[in-house]
Amino acid sequence: MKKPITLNVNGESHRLEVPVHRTLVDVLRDDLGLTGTKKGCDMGECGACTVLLDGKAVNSCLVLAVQADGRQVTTIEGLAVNGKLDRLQETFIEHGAIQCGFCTPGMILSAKALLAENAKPTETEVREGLAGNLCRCTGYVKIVEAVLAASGSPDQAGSPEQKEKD
Amino acid sequence: MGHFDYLAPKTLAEALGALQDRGSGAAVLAGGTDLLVQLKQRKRDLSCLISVGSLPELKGIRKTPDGMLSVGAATPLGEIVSAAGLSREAACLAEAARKVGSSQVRNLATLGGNLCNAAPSADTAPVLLVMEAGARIAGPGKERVVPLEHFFTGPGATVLQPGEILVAVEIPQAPAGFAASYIKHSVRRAMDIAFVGVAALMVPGADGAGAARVRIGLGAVSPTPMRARKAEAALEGQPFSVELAARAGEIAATECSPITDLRASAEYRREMVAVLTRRALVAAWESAQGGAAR
Repeated sequence: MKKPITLNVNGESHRLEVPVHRTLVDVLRDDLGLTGTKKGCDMGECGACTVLLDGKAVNSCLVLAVQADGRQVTTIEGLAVNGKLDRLQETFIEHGAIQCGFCTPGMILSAKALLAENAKPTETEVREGLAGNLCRCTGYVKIVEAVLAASGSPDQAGSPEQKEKD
Repeated sequence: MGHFDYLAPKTLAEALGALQDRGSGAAVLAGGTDLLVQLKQRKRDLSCLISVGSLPELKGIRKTPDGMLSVGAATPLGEIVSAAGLSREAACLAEAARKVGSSQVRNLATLGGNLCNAAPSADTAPVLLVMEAGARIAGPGKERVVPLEHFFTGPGATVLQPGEILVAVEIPQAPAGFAASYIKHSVRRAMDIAFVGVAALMVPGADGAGAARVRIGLGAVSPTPMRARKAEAALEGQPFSVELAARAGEIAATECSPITDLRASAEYRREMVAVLTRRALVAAWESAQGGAAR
């Protein structure tokens, strides 16, 4: 079964006819060529496929494309405006929070959603907010620092206060 | 994932009709965080998905005229987490909801889905059991309310008959001064499935020395989420002490029937039921004491 849908992706409207069993991650990557969104586990465990759906971070591997009909999707490609990087993209680069880069799009979008709801998160809140995004390279410290820096916080990840709480 | 049809009815009545028409090969789809994984793993084979996630009759958290907290079955867990301030009962449910998965999962997963998927480890079940919630179910031409304690019939199985859809979870207002606590035991602090879940609810008695009402809900340690009624009876009406809470924990450990699986052994689960029941009871008691002024 196929259905005609309208996907609003990064501010652009796309009219597509999609088989109803196809997931949003596959339609974004294969039909729209937006390969910034990565497919890791394909079952909602790793967060590499994270996109914003009406502003909320979701695993796009668990959303049927037809469920996103008429809704706003933001992928990593939609973050930079006129070539100017989002503050999170800048701090990720500045803080060495990117190694292989595979987790990065999902990680940044999760962080973006976190900061939209909580502009000044503590380190614990950052770690909780990013709990759905796995990174196999960095050990997370630089990622957490980058998110805190983007929020304007001077906190360092792994501070003595934080270690004591854990 | 297999090939299936997808229907997006606009009303509950349409959805019920579609479910009737399409028969046993059809299932309702809300958040999809369990169902899509099962379809991808070929654990389920369906010919039709009926999307209920946007049905207005299934959305929203509200207080009913008779003081109940009604949570629409299609309410995302993330929304429940955000609604913690609505009432004490909402805060207790929110505490459990925020332990499910990740924020990405919670933005899709629904309360109804967590209950209808009926994993013995469902995180929202124990706290709903101790708050004595009911499941409002719509079927062809009628509605019924089933106490949540009777909603689950086995791992992955509920009382839902063919053609029925869970519409809402209704939580009665608990006596003033109550407190409830949910402890989820898992390896990671997020994303994992609980290998033991314990919820405890306490209502302090008039004399302040003991609890007039004690409810204990256990998850992941029997075929369905369950109440530990013998443990409750050991504590109810007695002057509260940590020792008595520990005793109640030991009784709860005899009431459940955990299995050994990839997450934990039965023996470990049983031992953890005793420990975590004590901790949940103490946490609920202390919270009730601290909140006495509220």
